[in-house]
Amino acid sequence: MVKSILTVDDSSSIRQMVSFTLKDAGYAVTEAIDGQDGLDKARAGRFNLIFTDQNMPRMDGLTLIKALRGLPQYRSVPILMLTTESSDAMKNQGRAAGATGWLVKPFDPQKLLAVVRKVIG
Amino acid sequence: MTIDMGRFHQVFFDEAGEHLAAMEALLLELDVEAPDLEVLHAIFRAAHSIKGGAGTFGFADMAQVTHVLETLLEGLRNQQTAPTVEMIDLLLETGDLLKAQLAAHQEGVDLEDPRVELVCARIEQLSRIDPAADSVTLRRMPPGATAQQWRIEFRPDQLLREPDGDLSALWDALGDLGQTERLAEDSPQLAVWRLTTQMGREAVTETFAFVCDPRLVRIEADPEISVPGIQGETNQGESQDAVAPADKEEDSGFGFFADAPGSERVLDQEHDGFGLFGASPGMDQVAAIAARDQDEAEQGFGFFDSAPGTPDAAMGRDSPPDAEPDPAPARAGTALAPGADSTPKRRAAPESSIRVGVEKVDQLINLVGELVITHAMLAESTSILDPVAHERMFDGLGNLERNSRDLQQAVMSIRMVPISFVFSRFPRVVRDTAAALGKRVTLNLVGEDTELDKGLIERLVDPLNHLVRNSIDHGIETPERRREAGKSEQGEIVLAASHRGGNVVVEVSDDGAGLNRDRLLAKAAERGLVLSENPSDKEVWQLVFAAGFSTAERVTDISGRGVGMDVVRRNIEGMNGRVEIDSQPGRGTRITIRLPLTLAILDGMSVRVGEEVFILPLTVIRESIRPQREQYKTLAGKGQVVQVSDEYLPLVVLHALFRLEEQQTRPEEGIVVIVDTNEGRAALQVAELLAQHQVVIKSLETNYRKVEGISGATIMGDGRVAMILDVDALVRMSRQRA
Repeated sequence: MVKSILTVDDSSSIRQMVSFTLKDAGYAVTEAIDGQDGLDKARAGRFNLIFTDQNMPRMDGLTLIKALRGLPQYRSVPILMLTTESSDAMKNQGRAAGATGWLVKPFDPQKLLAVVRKVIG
Repeated sequence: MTIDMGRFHQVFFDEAGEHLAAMEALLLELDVEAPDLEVLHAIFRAAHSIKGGAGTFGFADMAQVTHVLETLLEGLRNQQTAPTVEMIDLLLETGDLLKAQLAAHQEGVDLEDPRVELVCARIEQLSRIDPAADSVTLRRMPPGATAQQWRIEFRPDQLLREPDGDLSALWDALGDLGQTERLAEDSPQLAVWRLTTQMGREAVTETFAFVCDPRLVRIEADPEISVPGIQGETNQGESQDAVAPADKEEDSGFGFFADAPGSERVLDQEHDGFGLFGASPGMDQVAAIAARDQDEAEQGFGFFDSAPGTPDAAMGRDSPPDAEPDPAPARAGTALAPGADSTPKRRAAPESSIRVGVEKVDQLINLVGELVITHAMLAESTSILDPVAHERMFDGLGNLERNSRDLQQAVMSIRMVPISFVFSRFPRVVRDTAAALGKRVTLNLVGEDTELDKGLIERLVDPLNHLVRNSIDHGIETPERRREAGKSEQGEIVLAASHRGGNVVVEVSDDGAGLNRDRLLAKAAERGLVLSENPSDKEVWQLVFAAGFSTAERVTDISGRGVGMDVVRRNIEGMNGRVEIDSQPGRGTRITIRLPLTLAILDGMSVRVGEEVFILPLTVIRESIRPQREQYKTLAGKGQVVQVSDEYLPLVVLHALFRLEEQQTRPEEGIVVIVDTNEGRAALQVAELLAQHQVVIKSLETNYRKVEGISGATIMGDGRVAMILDVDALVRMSRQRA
């Protein structure tokens, strides 16, 4: 069964990079351009793993994570934040919002794949 | 698996370019007195996105600049720093720098620019005016966390670009993390520093990553002073990739939040560049995989049995999450309202576009052009047939014509872009130019949605730039002079675009002093330029476009060397366009540029001159008449003219101008076409009007060479080549010959 991943980022280049890399590795990938779009797409589909950026127009990543955790079908799905800073303030906010983990930008495709494989196999 | 990052570069270039343009527009929009928080957030996001992309795709120089920039913007959007005009200037300058860096990367080179250091230093300085604005404070650990000491060793000569470079920026950056001290005197070969910080190795590495390759730096937990409270410090992690047993509770060289909330039995896992929160939602599923992978020592990641033997979790990992019915999505949406509604203004457009190389579109346009020619040939060769006997063929030809016209329009529309692509740069140009000249100018943009061919848009940039700068420099007066003249101190420039007939009309108008007729005439006399006697205003204004013509009282670096306006005219005429000037003393000047919608196809009238066929663009034709003998006159100072109503129009005798054989040499046998030129109306004498066509323009310059009086060529239905006439040039030539 092909695992499906949702990547939420307002930067189309990052989104494409994530999407191409994961598709090449055999995952099904859906892209969303901001938090609101991510929430809409998450509601419409079913995902095994969600990546989200923090700084986005319309709805930021933390708000998205909180919203997703409020949906029964996403209560226990791994959600990883893509972030440019790995400060503890950020981590605490992420944890409080219900994120499963974080991945620091910049990252390369190999790192991304390694993390995804760790998390959802 | 190797992944070629190069294939994402073009997307990044486009995206970063868009972000930079957006950032500039937002900066110009920002009111320093009462900054709109939403605008500040949007500016921050733009810089932030560029930084993320630049880092990911390996453009370290851009990542470095945006990193510094972000610090300043962070302070602004958190309202810890108030924006100043100086700050906006600096931010704009930084944007320029990033554009230059981006352009360099697109060329495949690195930009070597001394401004980088300078700009970064100035931004850092501004960011520090208010210590609270220091975004790095965000990175600090919550109180109560344990400090850690890092021993940092590196070779300054490897890190710094210049041999006598300065380490202070680096020192300061580390200072943001904690307390720095030098363990030995810095030498080019070796620097040994100690950093006492609550931050992990990662933060230290990250700090270096913005100035150099972090692999050049040796960062070790300082074994001499091991701080109690964090386990594993004495592990001294040789490198971040060190292999740690999978069942250990931490990775080498990294501290965990032992005291963090929610980390009961299940501890956080922090790896090289990513981490997982213990006991967080989703960990069940992660841990299930981890349990399976326990034996893997791969990359030294450790996982915890957060949910040992949870069969549900193990099953859950292979199937999508339970498809429970969504409870009232509408209600969930309402609950989200604060986040969702906070930025209604800048709603992102849903993505339903694809990026295609321009050359593909051009190829399509060329093919459609060939199709139009083929149709013309078919129509030509069937014209001798009897329409009744060949009804079906004529029907088919009619359909072919309609379809190719629709196809052509559809293909053309791909190349059409809104003129806002050009206009959007002018708020900045006006701001900078006016500031440099000590004038106060507002800019009004009208009709930004007007679409025109992408090729034209690009070629319009330089002429418009020149015209706008000219208007500010020579048109708009200084505030004092404006006050004396009874005008408001603030001058106004209007950039307007609209579709008129088959043309796009772009106007640059100002409410400045206007052109000075007497001065222009004096200058023309001084330079020995040929003018008709008692020239019309239009003719006089047209002098501005003569090469080397400038009446500016003083030459500034903005404009005024007189080399610009003739280049402007040449550029516009190169696009088959025309420029006209209208001016009223004391009231202002309006420059009107008329451009065809596209460079590729033209609606034209074919005319015969001798044995040759020429094409006249339909847009220039007013009417055609067969004048009586007495309407032809020769006026002193104006040469041959045709009297139409009460006006004397200069006569251009085409066969004489092109030295062609003409049977009927008596003027009253020929036909005169009245055309619009940028000096007013003129009359072209031809032997016969043939037909109206749609012709595909082929450049004469690329295929042969530039010929005066001819703007291009086309292939006719019968396969012959016909020249497309350039009426402005013809009138000029005719006057010079006379």
